[in-house]
Amino acid sequence: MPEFALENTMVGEILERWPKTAVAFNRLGMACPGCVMAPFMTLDEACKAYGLDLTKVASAVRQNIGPATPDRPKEEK
Amino acid sequence: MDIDARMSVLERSPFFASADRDTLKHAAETASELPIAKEDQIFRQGEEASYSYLLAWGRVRLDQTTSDGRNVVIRYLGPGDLIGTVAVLRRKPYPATPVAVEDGMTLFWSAEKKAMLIAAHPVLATNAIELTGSRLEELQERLREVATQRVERRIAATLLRQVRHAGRRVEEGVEIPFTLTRGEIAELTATTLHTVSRTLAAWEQEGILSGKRASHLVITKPHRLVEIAEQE
Repeated sequence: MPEFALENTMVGEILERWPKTAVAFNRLGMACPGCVMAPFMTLDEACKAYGLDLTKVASAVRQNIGPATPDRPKEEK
Repeated sequence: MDIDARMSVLERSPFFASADRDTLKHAAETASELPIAKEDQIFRQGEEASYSYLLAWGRVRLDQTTSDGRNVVIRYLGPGDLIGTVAVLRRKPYPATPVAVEDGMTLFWSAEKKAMLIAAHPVLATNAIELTGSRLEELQERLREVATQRVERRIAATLLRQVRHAGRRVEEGVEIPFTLTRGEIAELTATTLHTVSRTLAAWEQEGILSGKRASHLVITKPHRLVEIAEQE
C-alpha cells in the first residue's frame, strides 16, 4: 500500500475515514474525537498544539488504520 | 434555477435528509424563488406567517426585537437552513426578522403547499422534528452557559458555534466566513459590547485570533480557543 501524507490530512478526515483511530487519539490524551476544530486542523498542527511528536502520534494512528485502506476518501454520498 | 438545480440545493438541506427523488422533485416543482440582497429583510417579526423559506445560498441573521425595543441576534443561518417554517406550521406570526448579511437566494412555499408536501412525504415531518429538536438543544446549551459560565468561556463557545456552522480552513487558521461584529457577538453571548471588545483584543494580543481578513474573524490558534471554551 502506498504511504500517503497522514501529517497533512485533517484530523476530522482521519477520524471519519477510520473511526477506530479515536482509540489512538484518546490514549495519547488528544481530545480530537468530537472536537469542532478537528475538520480544520492537520495531524501535524494537532501534534504541535499538544506538544507531541508527530512521528509517534502518526505511528499510533496508523496502528488503528486497517491494511485495506483506500488511498483517497470515498467520493460517494 | 431549473428543477435539477433546485433539487441539488434541496438534497443538501437537513430538512430533506433521506428524502427520495420523488420528494425532492415534488418540492422543487412547487417552490418559488426569491433572490435576496445584502440587508434585505425576507419578512418582518409579527407578520402573518404565510410563506416558509429555504436558504439556497448566502447567509442570513435572525433578529428579534424585544418588547423594550432591544435587538437580539437569535442565530445565523446558512445554505440549507429553513426560515419561518415553524411559524408557518404552527400558524403563528413570524417570531423574528431574517436579514440577509450577504447576497443570496431562497426557495419558498406557501403555507398550504408546505402542509401538502409534509402530508405527502412523512420523512419531512420526521426531519422537521429532528431540526426543531436540535435548535432546542442549542438554545438550552446557550441558556446553561449564560447561567453558569464565565464570560470568556461563553464568548469562545459563541465563536465555536459559528465555526461548527460555517467554519472554513484558510492558510492562517479557521475563518468564520461572514461579517460578525463585536455587537453581534455580544448579543449572541448575552454580554456587553465592552466585554467582547476587551476579550477579543486580549485574544488578538495572544495570537488566538486575527480580525484582519476582510472583517472576517480568523481563529489562528483553534486548539487554544477550544481550551478556553472548555475550561472550568
